[in-house]
Amino acid sequence: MSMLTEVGVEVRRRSVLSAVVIASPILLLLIFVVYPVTYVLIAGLLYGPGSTFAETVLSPVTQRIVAFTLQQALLSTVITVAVSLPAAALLARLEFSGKGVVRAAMIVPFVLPPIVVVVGFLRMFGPYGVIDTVAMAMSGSAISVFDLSTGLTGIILAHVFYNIPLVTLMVSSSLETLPPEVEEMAELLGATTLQKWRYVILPHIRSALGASAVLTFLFCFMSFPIVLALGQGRYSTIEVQIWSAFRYFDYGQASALALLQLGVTLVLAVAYVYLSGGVANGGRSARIKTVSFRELPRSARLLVTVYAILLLILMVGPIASIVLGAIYDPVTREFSTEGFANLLRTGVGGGLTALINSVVYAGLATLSALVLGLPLAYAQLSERAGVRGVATAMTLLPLGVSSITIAYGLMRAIAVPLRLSITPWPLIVIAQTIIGLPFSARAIEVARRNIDPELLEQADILGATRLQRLFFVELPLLAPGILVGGVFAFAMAIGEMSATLFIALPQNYTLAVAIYQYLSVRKFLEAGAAALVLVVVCLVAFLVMERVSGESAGGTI
Amino acid sequence: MVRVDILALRRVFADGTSIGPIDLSIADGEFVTLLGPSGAGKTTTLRMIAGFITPDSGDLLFDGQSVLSIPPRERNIGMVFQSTALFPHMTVFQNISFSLDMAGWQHKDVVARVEELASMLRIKRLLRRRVDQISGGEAQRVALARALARDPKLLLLDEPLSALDPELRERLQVEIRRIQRRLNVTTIYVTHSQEEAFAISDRIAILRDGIIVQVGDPEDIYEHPADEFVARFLGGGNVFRGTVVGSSDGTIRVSVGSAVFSVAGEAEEGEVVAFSVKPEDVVVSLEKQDGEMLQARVRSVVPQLGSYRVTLQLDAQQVVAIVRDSSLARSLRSSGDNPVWFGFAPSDAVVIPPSRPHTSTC
Repeated sequence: MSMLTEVGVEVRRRSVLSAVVIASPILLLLIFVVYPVTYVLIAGLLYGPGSTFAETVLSPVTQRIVAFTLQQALLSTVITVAVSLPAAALLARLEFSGKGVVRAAMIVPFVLPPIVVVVGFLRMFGPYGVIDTVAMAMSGSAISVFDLSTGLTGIILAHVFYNIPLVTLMVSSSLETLPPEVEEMAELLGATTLQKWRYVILPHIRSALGASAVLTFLFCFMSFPIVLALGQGRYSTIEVQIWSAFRYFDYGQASALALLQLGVTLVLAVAYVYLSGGVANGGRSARIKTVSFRELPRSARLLVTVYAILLLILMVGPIASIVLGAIYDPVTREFSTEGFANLLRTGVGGGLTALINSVVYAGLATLSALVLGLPLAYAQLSERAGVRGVATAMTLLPLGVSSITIAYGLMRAIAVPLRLSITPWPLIVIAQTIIGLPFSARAIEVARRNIDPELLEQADILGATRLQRLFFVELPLLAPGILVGGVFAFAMAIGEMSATLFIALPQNYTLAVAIYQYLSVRKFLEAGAAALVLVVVCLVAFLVMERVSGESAGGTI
Repeated sequence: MVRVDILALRRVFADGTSIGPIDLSIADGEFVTLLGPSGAGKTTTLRMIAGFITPDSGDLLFDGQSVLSIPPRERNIGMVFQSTALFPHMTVFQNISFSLDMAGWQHKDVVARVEELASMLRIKRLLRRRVDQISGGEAQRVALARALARDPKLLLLDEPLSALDPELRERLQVEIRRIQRRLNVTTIYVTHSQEEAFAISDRIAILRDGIIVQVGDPEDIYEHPADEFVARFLGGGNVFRGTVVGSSDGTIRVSVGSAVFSVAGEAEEGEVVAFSVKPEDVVVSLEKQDGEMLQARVRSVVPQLGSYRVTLQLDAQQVVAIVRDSSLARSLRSSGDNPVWFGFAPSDAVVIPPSRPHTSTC
C-alpha cells in the first residue's frame, strides 16, 4: 500500500470514529426520547386503551384542564414579568453594595427542586407558616388566618418565585447593552421619561423580554410538582392529568393530552428560539448609566425600599423557612428533631432508602449526562450545519418535551419490552440523564467555545497527536466546564420529581418523591428535613458552579 | 442663537477627581472648541452644559438666564456623540424625526423638516435605510441632522469625527463649519486633536486637569502658548527646559543637557526656565554656518505638504525642524550616524511661563 492510501485510510478511520462518537448521544436520545414519545403517542391514540382523541378533546373536563393550564401559565407569566421589570431595571441601573452577590444568587432558584420550593412556600406563606404565625399573634387568633401557599394563589406565587430570576437576568443584561448615550440623546431630543421608555428602552429590550416571557410561560405550562402539591388535587394541569390518566390506565387520554401539550410546547420553543435570536449580544456597554441609591429622590428611595423588602420576602423567605420547616412541626406546634431522625431510618416511610436512592440515581445520571454531553457539545460546534442543527435540536429537545411525557414514553415503550416494570430504577436514571443533559451539554459547549483555537493549533504544531492534544490540552481546559455541567446535571437529577414519581415503585423513591409523599400525609417534619438536605445539596452545587465559573472566567484554570 | 456664560462651574466626583471651576463665555453664533488631552474634563464640561451632570457649584447662563434647574430635554440643545448614539431599531428618517415626533409635530411638517435637513446634509437617499445599513461618515451626518431637527439654540459636538478616517474627517469638518455658519448656531466642539481644533474653531479653550488654561483664537494660541503644558500639548513647537547659566543685554544662556542655547529674555542665573522654538524657525544644515549652531543626529525625515519634517535627536531631547530644500532633506536622510548642525536666532525663541503642577489625576 502506498503512503498516500495509508494516510487516506487513517483519515477515514478517524473520521468514522469521530462520527460514531458524535452520533452515539444523538442515537441514544433517539432511542430514549424520540422513539418512546412517538410510540406512546401513536399507540395510545390508535389502540388506547381508554378514551379516544375525540372523546378526550371534546370532554368538558379536558377543556377545563386545558383552559386552566393556559390561564395559570398566562397569569404566572404576566405577574412574573410585571414584578421582574423593576428588578431588572434596578439590577442594571442602581449601584448598591452586594450587587455581585445578588446577581450570582439569582441562579439559586434554578437549581432548587420544585418540591423543595413547595415545602418552603408552605412554611413561609402557608397555614401556621411564618407570616401566618405573625398574623395570628397580631390578631390574637388561635387558628390560622393567612394562607397564600395553596390553590391558585400558591401555584402562581411559586411560579413567579421560580421565574423572577430568569426574566430579571435576561432583561437586565439586555438593558446593560443599551449605550447610555442613546438614552441621553432621547432626553436631549425632548423625550419625557415615559416616552424614553416607550420609544427607546422597550424596543431595545423587546426581544429579551419576549424570550424570557415565552420561557416562563413554557415552564409554567409544563409545571408538575408545584401544581400537584400546592393545588392539592383541586387543580389540574395537562401535565398532572397525563399522570393521573396513566395511573388509571386511560392511555388514550394520556396520549391525546401529551400530543396537545407537545404541540403547544413546540410552538413555544420555536417562538423562544426566534425571539432569543434578536437579543443583542453586544456585551455590556462600556459605560453603563447607573445611579446610586443616595442620588434618588426621596419618594423613589421609599418605593425601591418597599419593593426590595417585598421581593426579599418572596425570594428569600421560602428558602429560609425550609430550615424552620425541618425542626418545627406546624401540626403539633413543637420543635423536634424527628425529621432528621427519620432520614436515618430504613423501612417503610423511612428516609434512608430515599436518601441513598437519590444519591445513587443522581450520581449515575450525572455520569451519563457528562459522557453524552461531551460529544453532544462538540457536535453543536461542528463545522457542518446539518450536524450542528441536529445536535442543537436534540440538546434542547428534553426542554421542550415535558418530564411526564418522557416518563410516560419510557414506561410504555422501554419498560415493557425490557421487562423493567418491576425493577424500573434504570429508567429513573435514564429520565434523570435526559433532564440533566441539556445543562451538562450547554456548560461544556460554552467552555469549548471559550478555548482559544490558537492553543489547539499550537498543540498541533508542537507535534501532539490528536489523542495527546485531547488529554493534555483540551480536556484540562474543558475541566471547569465539565465540572459546572456535572454539578448542574446533578442538581437537576437529585431534585427531579415528576418523571421519578411517574416511574418509581415505593422501593425506588428518591428524596424529592418522598417529600411529596410526606406532604400528602401531613408529615411536615419529615418533608422539611428531607427538603433541607436537598437545599444544602443545591447550595453546595451553586457555590461550586459560582466558584469554578468565576475562576474560569478569570482564566486561571 | 444663544449666548452661553459658564460661571465657575465646578463638580467633585466620588473618586476624588474634580472639574473646574470653569469660566468661559461663548458669544451668540460662535464656534468654540474645548481642546485637551483625554481625561482633561472636556466631555464632563460638555455634559454639565447639556445637563447630564449636575455641577456642585457655579452657574450656567443661556442669554443671561440660569438653566441649571432646567432638565436636558427642555434646554433645546442639539448634541452629537462620537458613537453617534443613533437609535438602532429605527430608520434614518425615524432617527431624524425623533425630536419632532416627541414634540407632537404634524406628520407633513415632520416630513418637510426631515427632507430639508437631509438635503442640507446630503443624506436624502439614506432616509429609508436602517441605521446598521449606513457607513460611519453617513451615521455622523444623520446624527447631526437629528441634532439640528428641532432648531437647537446650542449645538454640542463631542468628538464627532474621532472614529473616522482622516480624509473623511477633513471633509466633514468643512461641512460642519459650513452648516454652523449657515444656521449661525452657537456651537461647542470637543476634541483632543489640535489640528481639528485649529481647522474649525473661532476660538479654542485648552483644558488641563479640569481647568481652562488658555482661551484664544487659533493663531493667538499657536503664537503665544500660555504655558509649557500648552506649548508641549500643541506639539507644533519645540519645548526646551533648562537652567539659566548666564545673561546679558536681554539674552539669556540656557543649559539644556549638554547643550547651551541663547534665548531672548530676562532671568536670574540658576533659574529653571522653559522656552519654545517653532519648527519653521529652526535652521538645519550639513555644515556649520554663521551664528550659534549645535550638533545633533537625524532621527527621521518625513515628507509633508510642501516641506519635510526633520526630527533631530540631541541627547534626550528631540528637535523638530521644517526643511523646504528637497536635496538637503535627501542628504539629511542619508546622513546616518554622522552629526548635522542646527540652530535658531535667539529672538525666535520664546520664554514661556512654567505650567501649574498636576493637581488631580483625571
